[in-house]
This record gives sequence, structure tokens and C-alpha cells, in this order.
Amino acid sequence: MTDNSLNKIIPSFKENSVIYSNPRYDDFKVIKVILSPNQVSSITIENFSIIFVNNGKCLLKDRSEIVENLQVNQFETIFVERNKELIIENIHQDSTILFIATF
Amino acid sequence: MYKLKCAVQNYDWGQIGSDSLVAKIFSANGGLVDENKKYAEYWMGTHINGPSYIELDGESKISLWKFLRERFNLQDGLPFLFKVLSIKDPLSIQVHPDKQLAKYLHETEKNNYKDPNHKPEMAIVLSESFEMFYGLLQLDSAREILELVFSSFVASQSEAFLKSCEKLISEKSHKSYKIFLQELILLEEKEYKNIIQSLVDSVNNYQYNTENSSIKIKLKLFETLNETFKYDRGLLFSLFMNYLHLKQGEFIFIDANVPHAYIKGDCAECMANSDNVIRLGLTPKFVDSKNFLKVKICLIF
Repeated sequence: MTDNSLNKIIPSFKENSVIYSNPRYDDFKVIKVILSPNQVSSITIENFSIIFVNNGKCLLKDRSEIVENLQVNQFETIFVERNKELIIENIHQDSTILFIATF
Repeated sequence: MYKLKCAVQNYDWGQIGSDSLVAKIFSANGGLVDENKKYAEYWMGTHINGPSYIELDGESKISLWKFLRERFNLQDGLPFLFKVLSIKDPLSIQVHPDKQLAKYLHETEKNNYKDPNHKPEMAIVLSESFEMFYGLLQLDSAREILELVFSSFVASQSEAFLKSCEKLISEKSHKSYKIFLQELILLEEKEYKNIIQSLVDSVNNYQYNTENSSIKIKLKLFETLNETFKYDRGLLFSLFMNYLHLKQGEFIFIDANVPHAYIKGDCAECMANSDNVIRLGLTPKFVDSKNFLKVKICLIF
């Protein structure tokens, strides 16, 4: 009755990202990115996305635009347009964890 | 990239003031937290019931929906809704309709079902632990708990309901399980309140009379939930649902037609862009047993 195997889905892992894919529909998926201190990572955003920083803080940079880095602190939320390559730099003394909801 | 300003929902089941993760997120994005209010959900998306806004520069802002429509000709907004939930008290036992039923409900009952979309969803646990009801018990488990508490169910005067209980115990078939659940949902208020009173009176005996630890947990939960939702119909239905205890980082997919209820904890939730909820119980909100019966819930065991 306390069946913890029920519909819990094993996410897929890619480098420092955990991808929680919706198994039945293409309406949405969530990517969890975990960065260790000072780690810099890049991620391709294929479609319109919303980023939520759950732990830590980071600098976000859009590789295709000459704009300054955007500092995103814990719990801040960001909208990203489609077809973007983002560079994410952890500027927290501990891990930074962010969620990217997209489709 | 744009910073987002998002809506909060102050539902009754939310954590209060700054104890709520939702309030912390709201505050981090420029919101002013009222310590006396409950902060249940933080909505990131374009749903009409709580649209987000983007900051174009330090001063002006525009709704995300309008931005997507004007710059990208995306007329329907985002296809998903992203949320954070901070749960102090249990949410209602509910199901989300599939596309066909959502369309029908929106056409026939616009006041209760504001959009025509389905609402499959997934939840990622953010707190150390997270409790929920998910789906219906397997047939054998349902029969086991029914046999244990049957003497309380006799407190009902409904012949049809009692017949369905006896058939489920004797026949061991999915068909009899389905009929039993239908009769349970259809019980008149006086009937289910009598059963709940009898369960309250006898719950210690039932716990003593079973070795099954899952049933013991379920009966304890029944007592706890009855303190908040006194004599609510959902208390009976919850006895026949799976109780899950998830850990931080774990993740569950909840398809349309799957009855569920979050009980306690924080989670991030991503779903199709819809707010369609058919409630059965554990709530002071609108309960829609009639349409709950239209859902193909018995396909999920």
C-alpha cells in the first residue's frame, strides 16, 4: 500500500543535468542543472523556457548577444527566448541548483 | 533573458507567511509578503488565472503572454505552466481530465472549468520529504482493508453500497471494485458520515487487528485527516488510495484520470497549461462527484 515504486520515473542524466521528461506528452519537461563551486557550463535552450534558481546563485550569459552577464540569485525566476545557448557560471561558495521548465 | 515577476495563489492549504517557500520566492522576485497570509503556489507561465510579467528594463513590465504574442506570434502562450507549491495542509482528492473530457467540461460548465485543456503534471520534491496519495490500491490490497473495516461500513443504510462491498469481498474482480468505488462516491451525506463516525469509534481496534503496516499507516492518517476535514467524503476514498512518501529530488508523473492528493511538503510542479481540477473531497471547495464519476479512474490500478 505504501508503494514507492508507483510511477516514480527515473530521470535521465547528461553531464551535470538531470532531465525529468514527461513520459507521455510533449507539452513540457524539466531540466535540473547542478553546478559545483566555480563551475561553468553551457546549455542549449531550444524552446521558450523558464528558469528557477532553487539553491545558490549564478551568472547567466547568452552566447549570441553582446550583453552583460545577468546575475540570478536564489529563488529568482527568468524567462529565456528559444534557440539560445546559455553559459551558466556558479558564483556561490556551494552548489547552485536551477530548474529549467521547457517543451 | 528577462527577469520574471510571477503570481502567487493564497489557497487555504498553503504555508503561512515567510515559513512558506512560495513566500520566499515571491519576496526574492520583488513581492511584499504579508505574514498573516497563506502562500500556496507560485505560478510561472501565461495561464489566465495567474499570468507572469517580464521586466523590459528597470521600470516597465509587460505580460509574458502579450510579449510572446507580439514578438513571436505565439497566440496561445506557453504550452506549460511551472509552479512551486508549499503545502501545510492536504490538498483535495482530485483528478485532472483528459483532453476530451476537459473540452466537454469547458463547453458545458465554464464557471467551474475555465479552460479546455488537459492537465497531466509532474512533481519534483524540493523539501526533505513529501507525502501524497496517488492512484488506487491494487485489488487485493483494497479487499484486505475493506474486509478489516467492513463492520463500520455496515453503518450505512444504503443497500446498493453494502451489496457492492459484499461483492468486492466475495468476487475479487476489477468489475466489482469499480462498482464499489462508484457506490462509495455516490453515498449520501448522512450515509458516509455514519460510516466515518463508526470508523473513528473503532479505528484503534482495526489497528490492533491487523499486522499490515501499510494499513496501520493508512488508519493513522485517516485519524489525522479527520481532525482537519471532519466527516469529509474524501476520508473514505483515501482508504483505497496509495500513500506515497517521496524524498528530496524524487519525481512523479501524474497523468490525466489519476486520482491524487498532495498531503505535505514543497515541490516544483510542471504541467500542461491548465487549471482544470475535478475534486472529490478533503476540501471546502466545490466538489464535483458527478463529473468525478465520468473520469475513467478505474483503468488505473
